[in-house]
Amino acid sequence: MTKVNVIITPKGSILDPHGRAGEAALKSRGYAVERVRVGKFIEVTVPEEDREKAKALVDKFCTELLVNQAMEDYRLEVEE
Amino acid sequence: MRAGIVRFPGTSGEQGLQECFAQLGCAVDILWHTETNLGEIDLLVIPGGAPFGNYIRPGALARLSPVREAALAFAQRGGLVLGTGSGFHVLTEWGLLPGVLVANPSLRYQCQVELVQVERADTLFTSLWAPGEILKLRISTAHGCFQLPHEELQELEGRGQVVFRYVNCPNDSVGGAAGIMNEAGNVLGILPQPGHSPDGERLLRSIVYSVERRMSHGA
Repeated sequence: MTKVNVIITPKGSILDPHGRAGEAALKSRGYAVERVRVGKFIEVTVPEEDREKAKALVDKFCTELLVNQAMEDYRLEVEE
Repeated sequence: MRAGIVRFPGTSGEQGLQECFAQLGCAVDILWHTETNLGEIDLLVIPGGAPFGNYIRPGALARLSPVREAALAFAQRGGLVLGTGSGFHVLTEWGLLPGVLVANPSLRYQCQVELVQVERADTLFTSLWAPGEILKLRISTAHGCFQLPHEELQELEGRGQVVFRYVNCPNDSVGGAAGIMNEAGNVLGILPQPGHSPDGERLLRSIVYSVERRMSHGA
C-alpha cells in the first residue's frame, strides 16, 4: 500500500472567503499576518506498491474528481 | 414540452420545479442520476439542493454520475440545459459553464429574495422579457459567490454571456452575475431557485415559451 497526500490550495485569482476571514481574525488579535489561504488536505491510500505508479493514479483521481482546476492548485506528496 | 429534471442523492429542488413546470402545462420526467438515456426531452434541468451532500465541493461528486455523459451529449446536440442553485455548480463541474462558485464571503448561508435584472432578453431562455426588467428571485445557498479570473470575465461580458445580474449583489460574485450562459447559448446556470421565488413561475414561463417557440419553428 502507498499513501499519497493531496495538498489543495485555492488559486490566487479566486476569492478565498475562508482564508480572508482567518486572516482578518488573526490580525484582529494583533498578529502580523501577510496572508492566509485555506485549502484542503486529502490522504489517499492505494493498494499499489510502486510509488511512482501510486502517485500517477492519485494524480488521475485529482483531475477526475478531487480538484477543480478552475479554482484550485494541487500537489502530491508520497509518504515514506 | 417535456422537461427532464435530474435528481441526485441530496437534491431538494426538484419537486418545486416539477410543480412549476406542471402548472405551465409541461410534462416532467424525474431522472435519477444513474440514468444514461434522457428520453425525448426538450429541456434538461439540474435543480438545487445539496447533491451528494456537497462533499468535496458542491457539485463535485456529480462529475462521476452516469447521467453526465448523456447530459453533455444532449448539450452538444444543442439541447437546452438549465441549472438552478446547486445545479449551477453541477454545470460548472461538468464543464458546461465557465467559472466556479465559492463560499459566500460573509461565510453565512443566505436565504433571501434578491432583485435580479434581465441583461439579455434575446436568449433562448429569456425571450418573454425586456432588457432591464427586474425579477424577485430567492437565493438559498452558502456557496453563491461566482468567480472567474478577470480576463475570462471580460470575455464572458464581451460575448454577452451574463444573462442575469443582481441589482445589489449579495455575495461578491464577479460582475454581480446571478446567471450566465455558455457561448452557444443553450446552457444557462442561475443561482436563484425559481421553485422558491416570487417570480420563479415568470422565469420558467419565459423558458417554456422560448422552448415551445423554438419547437414550433422546427429548430
